[in-house]
Amino acid sequence: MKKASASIALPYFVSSAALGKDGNIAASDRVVMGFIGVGGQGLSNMKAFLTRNDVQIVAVCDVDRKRRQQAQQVVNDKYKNTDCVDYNDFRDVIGRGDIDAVSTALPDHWHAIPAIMAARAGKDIYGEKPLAYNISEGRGIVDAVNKYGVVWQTGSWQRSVYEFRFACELVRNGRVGKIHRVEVGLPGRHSKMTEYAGHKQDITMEELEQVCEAPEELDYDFWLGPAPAAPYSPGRCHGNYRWINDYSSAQIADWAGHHCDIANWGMDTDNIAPVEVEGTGKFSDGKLWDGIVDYLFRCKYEQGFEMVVAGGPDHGIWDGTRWFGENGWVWVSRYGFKASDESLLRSTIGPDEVHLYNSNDHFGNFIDCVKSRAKTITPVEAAHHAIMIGHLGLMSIKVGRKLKWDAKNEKVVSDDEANRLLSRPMRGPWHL
Amino acid sequence: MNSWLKRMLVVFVVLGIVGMFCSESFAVSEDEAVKIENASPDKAPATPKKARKMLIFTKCNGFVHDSIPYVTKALEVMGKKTGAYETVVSDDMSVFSAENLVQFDAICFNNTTVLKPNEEQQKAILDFINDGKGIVGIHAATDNFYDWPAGGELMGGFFAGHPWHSGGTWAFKLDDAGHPLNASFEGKGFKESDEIYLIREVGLRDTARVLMSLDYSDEATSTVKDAKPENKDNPVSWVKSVGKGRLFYCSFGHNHPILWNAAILKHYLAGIQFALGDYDVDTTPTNLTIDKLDPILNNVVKYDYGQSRETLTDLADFVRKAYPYVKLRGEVEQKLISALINKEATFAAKQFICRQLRLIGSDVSVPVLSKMLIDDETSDIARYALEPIEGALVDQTLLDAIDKTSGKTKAGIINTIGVRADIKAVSKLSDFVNDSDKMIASAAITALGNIGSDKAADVLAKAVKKVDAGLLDQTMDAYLKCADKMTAAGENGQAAKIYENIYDGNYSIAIRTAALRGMVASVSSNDAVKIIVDVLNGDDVKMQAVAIGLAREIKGSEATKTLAKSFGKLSSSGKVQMLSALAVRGDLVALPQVTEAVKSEDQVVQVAALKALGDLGDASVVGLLAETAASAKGEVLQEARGSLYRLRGDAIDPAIIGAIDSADAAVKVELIKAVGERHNSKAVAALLKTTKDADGKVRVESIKVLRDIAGAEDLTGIVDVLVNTQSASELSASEKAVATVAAKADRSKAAEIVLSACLSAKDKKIKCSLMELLGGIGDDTALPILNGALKDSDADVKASAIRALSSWPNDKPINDLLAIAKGSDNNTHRVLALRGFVRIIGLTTGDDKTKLYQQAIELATNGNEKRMVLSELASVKSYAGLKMAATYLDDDELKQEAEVAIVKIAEGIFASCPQTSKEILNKIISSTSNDSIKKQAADIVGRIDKFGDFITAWQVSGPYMQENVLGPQLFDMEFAPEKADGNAKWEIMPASEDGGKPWLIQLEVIFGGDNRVAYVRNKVWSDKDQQVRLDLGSDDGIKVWLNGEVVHANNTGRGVDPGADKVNVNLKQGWNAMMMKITQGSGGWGACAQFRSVDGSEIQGLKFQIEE
Repeated sequence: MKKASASIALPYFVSSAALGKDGNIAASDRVVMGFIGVGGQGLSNMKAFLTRNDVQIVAVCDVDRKRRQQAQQVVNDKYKNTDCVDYNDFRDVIGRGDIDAVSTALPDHWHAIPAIMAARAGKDIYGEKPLAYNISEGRGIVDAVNKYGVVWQTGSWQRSVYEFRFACELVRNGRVGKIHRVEVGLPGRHSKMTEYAGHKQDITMEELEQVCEAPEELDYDFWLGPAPAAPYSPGRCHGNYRWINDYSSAQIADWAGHHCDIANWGMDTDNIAPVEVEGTGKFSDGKLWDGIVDYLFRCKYEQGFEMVVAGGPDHGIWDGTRWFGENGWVWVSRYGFKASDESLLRSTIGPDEVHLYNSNDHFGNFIDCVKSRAKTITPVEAAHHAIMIGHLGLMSIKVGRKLKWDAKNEKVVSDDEANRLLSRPMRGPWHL
Repeated sequence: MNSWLKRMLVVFVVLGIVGMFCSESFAVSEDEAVKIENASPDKAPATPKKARKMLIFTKCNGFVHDSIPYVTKALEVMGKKTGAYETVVSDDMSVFSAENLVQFDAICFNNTTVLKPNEEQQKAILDFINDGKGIVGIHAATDNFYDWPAGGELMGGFFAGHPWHSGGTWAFKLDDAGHPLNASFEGKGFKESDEIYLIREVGLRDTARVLMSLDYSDEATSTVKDAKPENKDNPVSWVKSVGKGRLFYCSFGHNHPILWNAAILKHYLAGIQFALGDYDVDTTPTNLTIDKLDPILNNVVKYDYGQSRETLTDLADFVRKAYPYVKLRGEVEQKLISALINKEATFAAKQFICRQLRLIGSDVSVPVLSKMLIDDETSDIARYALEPIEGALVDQTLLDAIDKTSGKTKAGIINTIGVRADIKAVSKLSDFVNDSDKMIASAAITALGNIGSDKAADVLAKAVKKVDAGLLDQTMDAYLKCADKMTAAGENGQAAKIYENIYDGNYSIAIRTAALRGMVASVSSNDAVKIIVDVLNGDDVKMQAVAIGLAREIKGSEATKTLAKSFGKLSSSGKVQMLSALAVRGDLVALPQVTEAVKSEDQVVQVAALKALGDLGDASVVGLLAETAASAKGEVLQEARGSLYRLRGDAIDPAIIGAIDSADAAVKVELIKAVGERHNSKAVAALLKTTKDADGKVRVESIKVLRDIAGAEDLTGIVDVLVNTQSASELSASEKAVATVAAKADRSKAAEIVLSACLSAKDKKIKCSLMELLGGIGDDTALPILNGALKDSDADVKASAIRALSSWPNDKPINDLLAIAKGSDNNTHRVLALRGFVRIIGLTTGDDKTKLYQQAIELATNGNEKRMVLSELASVKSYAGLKMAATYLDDDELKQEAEVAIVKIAEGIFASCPQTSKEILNKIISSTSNDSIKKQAADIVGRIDKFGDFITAWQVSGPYMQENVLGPQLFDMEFAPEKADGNAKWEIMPASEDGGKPWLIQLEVIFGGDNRVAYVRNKVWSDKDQQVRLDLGSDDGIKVWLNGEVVHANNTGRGVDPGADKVNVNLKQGWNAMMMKITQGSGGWGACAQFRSVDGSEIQGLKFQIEE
C-alpha cells in the first residue's frame, strides 16, 4: 500500500505571511472543500464559503440532479472555470484525497453516516444542526470527531452574533443573579416549504400528500437511505422532510440547535445534560406529516435550574432564550434583546469576568480553526447537548411520562420503552 | 375539635413534631377502640418490602367529619397489628414539602376538605406520587383541590353531593370481582350503611380501575333524590397508577361503624399496601380494555400510504396508554402479531405495526418476526421490531437468518447483530469480512468493531491485510474500536500494541491520529507526555500538529513543563500550535518560554506568543506588552494590545496604573489606552494627572479615556481639564468628554457645573465651547443665559448660542431660532439658525411638521439650504410631506433631493395612499437620471400593483398586553382603541416587507412578541348603501368593527389565510369607520382584509383612506 498521508492534506496554521502581496492566498494554502447536500441551507452555506479567498470549492453533491447542477454552476461561475465536479454519492466526495473539509446540509436522517465517514477520512466538517436524527447517532458523530481529531463546526450560527454572545456573557457573569429557570420558545406549527420542493409555488397540501412517482432528477431510494421504506410524495422530501418523524422532529429539530444551544451557552452546560425531562405535546394528524406541532417540556438540571422548552400556540413563552435569575431576566432572540434592567444591555464585561468565545463570522471561524486546529465556537459536544434536550423532550412526550436521564451512559433510567427510542434500526445496507 | 385541642395540635406542629398523635384520648371511646382492634385483620395481604411509613393528613377547611379520629385509629391499629406500616398524623399544610415527604411511603388524605395547597405544595404532592410513592384517599378525600385541576385529576374526581346519605343502607357491586383488593367481599356485592359521594369524574375510567360502585339494580339505591339515575353508575372505590406511583381511593368512611366493619378494613389495608408499593395489583384503567383494540386494528390493516393517518394515531395512542399495564401490554402484543399475519394487512400496515412492536415487543413476537426477517420485502421492518428486543432468542434468530438471505437484506441483518453487539456472532461474521459483496463485508467489519472482543480484534487484524481499499477506513475504525474496548477493560498492554502497530503503519493521518490518541489514552499522563514529546522531537511535521492537539488535553503542571521544554525544537507552525496549546492549558509554568518567544525573529511565532500571554500572563508581563505595543505595527501591535486588554487577575489593573508614571511617552499612551479598554474606573485620578503631562499625545489620550471611565461625580474635574486645555485637539477631546460625562450626571447638576465654568471663563474659545455643551445638556436653567447670548455683541458668542440652541433636545428654542433665521442680517447666524430650526422641526410632536418645513424652505435663500430642508423632510411619515416633496420635482436645482425624499417618505406610507404614491413615483421613474432611485421607486410601484383589492390603507395602534395574560384571553379585553376616550396613539401602518404578500398587515414585523393585541383602522367610502362581503385572514384572532358595531369576532389560533373568514356587512353611503383588532398568541402575527360583492366578485366604487 502506498503511504496514504501523501494524498491527505492535513491543513495546519496558515500564517499571514502566506498571503501574497495582493492579498490573495496561495492555492496550496486554501482550504479545499466539498459540499454534501446543496438544497436550501446547503446552497446558502456554500455561497457563504464561496466568497472567501482562502477556500476552494471543488465538489458538490446531492441526490437531486437539478440541485447539484445548479450549485455546480454557481461555483464554476464564480471561479470562471469548469473544475467543480458534481456527485450523486457523498462517498465519492469523502473519498477524494484532495478535499480538506466538507460541509453537510442534509435531512436529519442523513446526518450521522456521512459525518462519521468524513471524520474517519480525516475531513474537517461544517455540519448543520440538529447534530443528528437521534441521540445514539449523535453520540456516534461526537466519538468519531474526537477520535480522528477533526475540526467540527455546527451551523448554530447565533453564537457568532454579538447580541447572543453578550446575552450569554451577562448570564454567565451573574448580572441577573443565580439562574433558576431558562425558557426556550421555538416555533410550533409546520410551514409548507414550496420554495424548496422544486414544485410550483402554489402547490396544495393535497398535491404534497399525494403518492406518486418521484421526479426523474431525484435518486429517491438514496434520499430515503437509512430511513424506513415509503413511497414518494412531493411533500416528503426537501424542505418538507422536517415535518415527518422518520426524517426529523419538526420545529424542535430545526430550532433546538439554535435556542437551546444559546440556553446551554449561557448556562455553561455545553457538556451537561438534564437529569429529568417531562413533557406533553400534540403531533400532526395529516395524511403525510406526522411531526409534533404543539409541545412543552421541562428539563431539570443537577445544577439547580429548570429549562422549559415550548412551541405551538400560547404557551406564554417568548421566542428565543430567556434566563430568569434571582434579580431579573435576560432575553435574546432574532427578534430582540432585552433585560428586566435595560441598563444591563449597555454594560460592559470587565477583564476579570467570563468572556465567551468571540467569533463574528461563523463560517470564518470554521476556516480559522481548520488552520489552527483549535476548537470552533460550536464544537460537536455542544451540538450534541443542544439537540439532546429536544430528543429527550420528544421521547418523554412519546412515552407519556417523566424520564430520568443517566448522562454518563446516555440511557434512560429504568425505562425500556424510552430506551428503545434512543436509536433506530437502519434500512439495509446502511449502518453507522 | 375544641379550641384547646386545636391549640395543642398547633403547638406540636410549630415545634416540628409531626409526631405520633393519639386520637383515642379525645374521640374514640375505649369500647369503640376494642371493636376496631377486633375487626382489624390479623395479617396483611402482602409482606412489606421494607419498613413503611404513612402520613395521615386530617386538615379540613370545609366540613369537619367526626369520623376522622376513627379512621386514624383504624389505620394506626391495622399498621401496628399487621406490621404493614407505621403512621404519623398531621394537619399542617407545611408537611407538603419535598424534604419533609421524603420520609414517607404514602400519604393518606383522611376526610380532608377543601384543601388549597400552594404551588410548591402542589408540586411536592405530584412529585411524591409521580416519583414512585402512594396516595390513599378516604371518603372526603375527593372534597378538595377545587382550585387545582391537576389535583382533581390526580384523585380521579370531585365531590358532587351525597345523595346516598349516612342514614340509608345502600347496595354495592364489585366491578372487578376477582381483584385482590376486593378479596374481603368474596366475589359478591353487599349492602352497607354509610354516606356515599356522588363523584364528578375527571377522566376517572380512562386512568383508574374502578373496583366497586353503587348497585343501581337495588331500588333504594337507584331512586334516591339527586342520584342522577341516568348515569346508572357511581364509582365507590378505585386504584390507579400515577407516573411511577399509586393511588387508592375509597368512598366509605363517614359512619363510625364502618371502622369496625372487618371487610371494609381489609379492603382499606389491601389498598394501603398497594399504595405503599408492597401489593402489586392490576391498575389497568376500566376503559382501557383489549377489545377496544380490535376495531382500531381492523382499520389499521387496511391502511395505505396517502390515506388519513388517523387510525394509525389511534393505534399508537392505545399502545402508549396500555404500556404501563404489563398484562394488557402482553395482550396488545398478541393482537399486533395477529394483525401482522392477517392476509389483508398491507405493507404500510405491517410497517406501522412493527413500529409499535419496536416499543413493546418481546420474545413473544419473535416467531412471526423471524419469518418476515428472511423475506426481502419485510426484513427491514421486521428488524425495526426485533433490534431492541434483548435476549438470546433474537440473537439466535438473527444468526440463523444470515444464511437464508443475501444482498441488502443480509447486510441489514448483520448490521442489527452489530448494533446488538452479540459476542456469540464473531465466528459467523468472520466469514464475511472479505465477502465479495462490499455491502456485506462492510456490515460484518462494522459489526465486529461494535462487538469489540479480543476474538473480533483478531479477525479484523487479519482482514486489514486483504480488505478492499474502499473499506480500509472502516476496517481500521472497527479495529481501533476493539483496542478502545481493551483499554476500557484494563487490558492496556494488548491495546497499546494495536495502537502502536497502526501508528507506525502506512495509514492515513486520520487513522494514525486515532491510534496516537488511543496510545495516549491507554497510558498514565506521564507516559502520555513522553509519547507526545517523542512525536514533537521527531521529524513528522503532520503528526506534530496532532500531538500538539493532544497536548491540550493532558492535565497537570509537570506536563506543561515538559511540553514547554520541547518548544525550541519545533518548526515555526509547530511553535504556533504549541503556543495555542499552552494558552489553553493556562499554566504559569510555561511563562518563561512564552515570554522568550515574544522576542522571536519569526513574526508568526511572535504574534502567537503575544496572544498566549493574554491567556496565561500575570502582572509581570504588563510592561512587556505595553512596550511591545508602543514599538510595533500591524499584527504584532494588535496582538500585544489585545493581550494587555485581556489579562486576568486582581493585580493587573493596579500594575497598569503603577507603570504609567515612569514610562516613556509612547508606552504611557499604550498603558492609558489599556485603562480605557479595561474600563478601569479606579484610574480617574491617575488620568486627571496625566492630562497635565508634558507630552501632547499623552494628554489627548488621557482625555479620551477619561470620557469613557469617568463618572458623574468626576464632571467638575473633567470641565476643569477643558478649561485648561493647551491645544485644539485637546479641546475637541475634552468637549466630547464633558458631553459624555454630563450625560451620565443629573441634568440640572450638569448644567450647573458647566454654566458656572462658562460664566467664569476668561478665554472666549473656552466660553463658546462650554456654551455649546450647554445645548447638548439641554437643561431649562441654561435657557435664559443662552437667549441672552443671542443678543451678545460678539458675533462668535452669538454663533455659539445659536449652535447651543440648535442642538437642544426638545423643541423649546424653535421660535427663537425661527426669529433669527427670518431676521438676522449676519448670514452665518441666519444659516446656523435655519439649520437648527429645521433640525428641531423633527423634534416637534404636532401634526403640522410639513407646514413648518414649508416655512423653512421658503426662508432658504439658496439651493444648498433648500436641499438641507428636503433631506430633513424625508423623515416625515405623512401624505402632506409626500405632496410637498413632489412640488420640487420640476425644480432642476432641487429635483434630486426631492426624489430621494419622496422615495423615502413613500416607503413608509405608500400602503396608506397607494394611488397618489404611484402617480408621484411614476413621475420619478420617467424622469430621474438616478438609477438607484428609479429602481427603488419601481420596487414600490411593483408592490402597489400587487395589492389587488386588499385594503392597505391602515393606521395601527399597539401593541397592547397585560402581564400573565395569554393572547386568546386578550380577545375580549378592552384597550384604548375600543374605549370612547381611550386616547389611543395611531400611526401609519407601513407596507408589508413580504414581497409575495405586499398587502399583509405584518404586525409581527412592526411589533413582534407574544401574547398581545394590536388594532388597525381606516375610513371606507361607499358610493351607496349596500351589503358587501368582507373577506378576512388573521393570525391569530380577529374582531372587526364597522361604524362602531362589532360585525365579526373569531377568537382563534392560525396562520394568515386570505378569506379564511367571510362575513356579510352593510356599508352606508359616504364614509364608514372601520377598525380591526388582531390578537397574538405566539409565532406569526398579521392579518388581511378585502371587500367583495356578496357573491364573491370584485366590487367597484369603494375608497379607503386613513385619518390624516
